[in-house]
Amino acid sequence: MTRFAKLTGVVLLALLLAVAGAPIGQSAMKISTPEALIGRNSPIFNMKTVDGKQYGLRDEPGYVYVLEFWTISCASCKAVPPVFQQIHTEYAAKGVRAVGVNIADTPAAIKRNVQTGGYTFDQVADQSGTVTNLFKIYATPTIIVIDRKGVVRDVMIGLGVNWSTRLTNLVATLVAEQ
Amino acid sequence: MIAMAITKRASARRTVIQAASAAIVNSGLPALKACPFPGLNCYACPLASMACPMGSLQNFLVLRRVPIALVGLFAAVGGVVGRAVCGWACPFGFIQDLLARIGPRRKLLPTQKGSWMRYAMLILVALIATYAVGAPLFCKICPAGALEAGIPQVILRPGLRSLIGVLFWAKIVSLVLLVAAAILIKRPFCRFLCPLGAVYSPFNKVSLMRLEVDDTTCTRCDGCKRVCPVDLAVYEHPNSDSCIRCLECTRCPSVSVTWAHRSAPTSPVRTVEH
Amino acid sequence: MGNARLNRITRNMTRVPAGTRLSWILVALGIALLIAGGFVGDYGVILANARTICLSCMGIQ
Repeated sequence: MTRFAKLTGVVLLALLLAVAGAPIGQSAMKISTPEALIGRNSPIFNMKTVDGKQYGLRDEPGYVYVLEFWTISCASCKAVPPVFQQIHTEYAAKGVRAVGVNIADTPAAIKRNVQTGGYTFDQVADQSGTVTNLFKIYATPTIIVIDRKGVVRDVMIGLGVNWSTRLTNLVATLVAEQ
Repeated sequence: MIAMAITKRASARRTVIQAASAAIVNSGLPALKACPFPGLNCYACPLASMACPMGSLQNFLVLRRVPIALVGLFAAVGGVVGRAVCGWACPFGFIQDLLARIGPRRKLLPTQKGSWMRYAMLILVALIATYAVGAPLFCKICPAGALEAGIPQVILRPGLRSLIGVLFWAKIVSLVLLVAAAILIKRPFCRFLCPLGAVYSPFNKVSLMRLEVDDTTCTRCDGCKRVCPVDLAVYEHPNSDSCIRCLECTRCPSVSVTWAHRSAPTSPVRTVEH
Repeated sequence: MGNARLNRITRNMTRVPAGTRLSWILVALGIALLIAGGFVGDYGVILANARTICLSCMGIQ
């Protein structure tokens, strides 16, 4: 019986701690997701690729941006670069900027990683989290598509079914838009 | 029937420290995420305020980087208290301790025979396979991650639900099995599966904190084994690599904590007059 | 060897057994590595990795 009472006490204590901590936790977590950006104007970003190119949302003429937020250690992110490379080869001349935004690793590690894969689309090292925080990225991989007017048209957190056809179809549509 | 040497009641002190530790490392303030917590606590938990050392270690291996600070953390913590992190600070160990209170008093598997498995988990899965594959493989099967991160994230972020695949359900099933096992077996994860426990385990042999059993007063009543959260007969191996240094057994007057910087009482040199 | 010296040696032996020296070395080494890790940017790497969640690692993908 005392054993039971003790157990109940401990469970109550744990519950109390959890409940007391929850509001602090909730406010600190700021449950925000990049999906909320769909259909809205993209946050204004400026970023420098690992090769030193400067890209910004306001660049003229309007570009279609396809961003992938990734890290080297993220296994499911590895499926994205082949598709991005294809988009890059097909549409770079038509004003599409496919960019890998690495949110964790050093420029040297990123360069090595993309070289092994043979990818030539641009990479940004966002170790400081500037771009990542703008878009409220909380998970990898996340893909964000922005049209020529600067409106976020699609956000994919993780790779759902048919993500690559959904992405390439959308890019094809956005290229045609002026 | 049994001449129990342990008559003192279990102190609430350790439970309180375990609860406090779990609350601090999951305070919801991500201020210390650059700092690895010594215990196993998933940093993908929505409330996590520190990094998981096992997840970080695997990330370093994936990046082909030498984990200098993490090795330092293991050596510094292990060198002072051995596996005490498991007994006092690890939230997942705490959960298993609580689960053990629910089930029958007499637990299954009262042996350390399968303890090699946690070394296998560390060396084969968390180190070699992770390095070879280039992805944190232990995280993928970690039940602590499933409990602290997988379930809450899916609840908090409905967008993730469409992505749930076979692996997620496999993790949930293994978590449920582990919870059930923890009711019937003392700390099954820590004893047989935890790679972080395997990291700290060898330090029990060399740490400053030691346990000592007075053979002249010990009656081998197994009272220590009964209160031990990992089912260890302390009088057989007071500095076993399975011991999580919770010090519950020191309620027995025959078992005491010594700090190695003091003179070893059993040393024959002590007889020298000085 | 004088008695006093012998006593001093044995006293030191009593106070610092070989195992203890090893544990102190480990602790000192550990603290040194914790600091050295800061100089080579280990904490930045840990933070960058811990900041966001990796979906495949969580078993959702």
